[in-house]
Amino acid sequence: MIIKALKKIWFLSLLLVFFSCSNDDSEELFNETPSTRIDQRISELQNLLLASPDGYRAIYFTKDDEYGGFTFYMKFNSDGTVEMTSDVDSETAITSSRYDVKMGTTTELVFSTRNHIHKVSDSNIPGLIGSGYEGNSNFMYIKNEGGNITFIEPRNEAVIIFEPVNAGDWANVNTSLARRSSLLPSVTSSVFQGLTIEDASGNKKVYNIDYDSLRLFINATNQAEDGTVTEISYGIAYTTDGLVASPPIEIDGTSYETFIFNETSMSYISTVGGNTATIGFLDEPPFITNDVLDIGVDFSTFLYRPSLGANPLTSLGFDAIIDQINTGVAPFGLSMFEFRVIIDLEGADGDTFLQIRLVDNTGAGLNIFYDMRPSVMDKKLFFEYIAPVGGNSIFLESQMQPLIDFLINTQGLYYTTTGNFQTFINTAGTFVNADDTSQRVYGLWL
Amino acid sequence: MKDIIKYITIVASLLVMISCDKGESVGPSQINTETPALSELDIWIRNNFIGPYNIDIQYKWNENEVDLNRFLYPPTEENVQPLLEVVQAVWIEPYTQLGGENFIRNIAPRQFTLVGGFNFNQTGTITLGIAEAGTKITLFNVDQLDLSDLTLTRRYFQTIQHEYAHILNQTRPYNPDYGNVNPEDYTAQWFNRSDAEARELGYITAYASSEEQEDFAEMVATMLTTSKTEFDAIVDLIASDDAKAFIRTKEQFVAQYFTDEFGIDIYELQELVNQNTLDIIN
Repeated sequence: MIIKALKKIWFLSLLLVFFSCSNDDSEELFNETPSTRIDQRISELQNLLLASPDGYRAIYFTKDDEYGGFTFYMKFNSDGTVEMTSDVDSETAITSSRYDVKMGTTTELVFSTRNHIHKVSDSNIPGLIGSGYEGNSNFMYIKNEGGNITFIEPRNEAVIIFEPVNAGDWANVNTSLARRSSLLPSVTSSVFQGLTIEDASGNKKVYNIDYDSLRLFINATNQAEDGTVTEISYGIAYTTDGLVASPPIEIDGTSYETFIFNETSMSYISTVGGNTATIGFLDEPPFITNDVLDIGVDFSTFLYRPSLGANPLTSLGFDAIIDQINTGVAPFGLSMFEFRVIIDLEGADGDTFLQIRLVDNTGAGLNIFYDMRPSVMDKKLFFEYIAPVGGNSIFLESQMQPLIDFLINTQGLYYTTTGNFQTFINTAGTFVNADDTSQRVYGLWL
Repeated sequence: MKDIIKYITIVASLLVMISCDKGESVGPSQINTETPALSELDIWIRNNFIGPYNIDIQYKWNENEVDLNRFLYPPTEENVQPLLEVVQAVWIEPYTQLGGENFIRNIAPRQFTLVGGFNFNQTGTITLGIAEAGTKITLFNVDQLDLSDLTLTRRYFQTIQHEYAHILNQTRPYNPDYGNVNPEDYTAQWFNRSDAEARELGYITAYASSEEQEDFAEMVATMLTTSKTEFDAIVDLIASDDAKAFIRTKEQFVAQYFTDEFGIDIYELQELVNQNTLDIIN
């Protein structure tokens, strides 16, 4: 029985030998040997790189879930050198280095000695120590579409497209570099930045944006009326005309990628099928919290004392107010040490006031007082000015005017609680002048 | 049935054999074996390192030569030759002069890899160089090397002297009694010690207090990155008499090792390296 079964197996395996031999091994999938095909692919890329006489431009987003991108201009020469410039930093002079086209994981372009492209793999950048922008020196050749060469960087799978340019385009590197300052705070710029989406019928959706100017990365958050929070993050790279976002910003089925800078509104605008997306400064916060309702309930004395340390939440516009006051009292040998705003929403006149302490260089000084009348309306805090209290307060009133104007403006103040003050247990908060949103002060509640 | 199977077996075997016989001879190589284009720097390296010493210098980027988890970049081409000239002056020339023409040829790492950027560790410290298995030395910060600063230049080239001491030890072992001089304070947590603290325990640097082989290499590297006067000053600054004695004993072991194994007077070597280093800085 067993022998019979074995015979059967033996016979079947012989049949297998016949059939396996009859396999059609004459069919050639490739006409060339592997080494020839590798060589062909290498020369294909090598020739492509040399094909554009004035070189290529590429926007390299090293890792677009953490960083934005930079623009590189590159001209490849047949002697294995490449000339390059970039808008990574202010050193935009064209420098020369070596490149290789070789077989690695696939056909690869390697920038083999140092040039601009290696600035994004420099791990010694202040604020990004140990990682830098996490860039690479190797790029895998994927395809060529009408002279545009696509590469993939293997570590972060970043896609980079080399586009042919003219000699004149190289100077644009300074234009895109200069754009970097456009979203940075200035003395007159609003402290609110946003991403505004507007459809054809004028419906608006505003995202508050948090822009990291070192990483060139934006976190956008929208809080809907029902309290739902949506968040979108993307890197940006400045271009000659504006900026590009990567990954593209996807909102309600529309994808916004290329933004054009608008000089009038000083903002970046992308128009897709009747919808527009705008990145820029806002005249009002996208969303006003109810934090103002805690004033007089949870805390009532707000303190601003510059010697406690600077904070980016105090805007350059507000710093200008303090500078103005210090200039005003300098002839008396004084400077502002601190100011307090004591708020009593239920109290009588005299219970709410601004108290400013001015000191000389020995630390001795005087306190001056200005009575005000507080109220809360439309989620904003308003002060009505009453009068200075005491001789010194009257005498120095005009010097204190910039700060008084900040508080008693007709549009009121936006208030936001911002956690603990530095390393203290005190609650911290910010006030923004609703009439001039470049003015914001960060301080603590006593 | 049996016969049929036999018959089929024979036919099948023949088919298998015949199908194997293609009868073609081996043709020329399909692989591109052309010499790649050489730059002036490549030719200089061939003439000064590869040709005379069989040491390859990898200055072009090759991601397989470095840790993929670090963010590094290749050196600027112009910085490579000046660095290599220092390698010649502070390492190859002194050893060749005292050990003979074939000294470095016979005992040397086979490859130097040069990296332009900083190699940051998790702890925030920076690694200047690493050596692997006595055959490969990687030098970082090539682009940051300032050849006008004596302290920094010496610290940088201490790496080479240190690693080369290991390579020498792998070829000719040192006297095992070296490890019995003061083994009690060796620790894997050496990085919690400062150099000054380690010296009070009888080790020339903090790293020397990690284990005896590193101790030996650090002794050699420290001696070869200072003048005799400077080295003596370091030892004289130590407060503990025991510690001073330990280091002096180990110094004797090192000197003995170089004389017995290689016929080199370490103090002559020390002076040569020191003089060549000073010449570069000035």
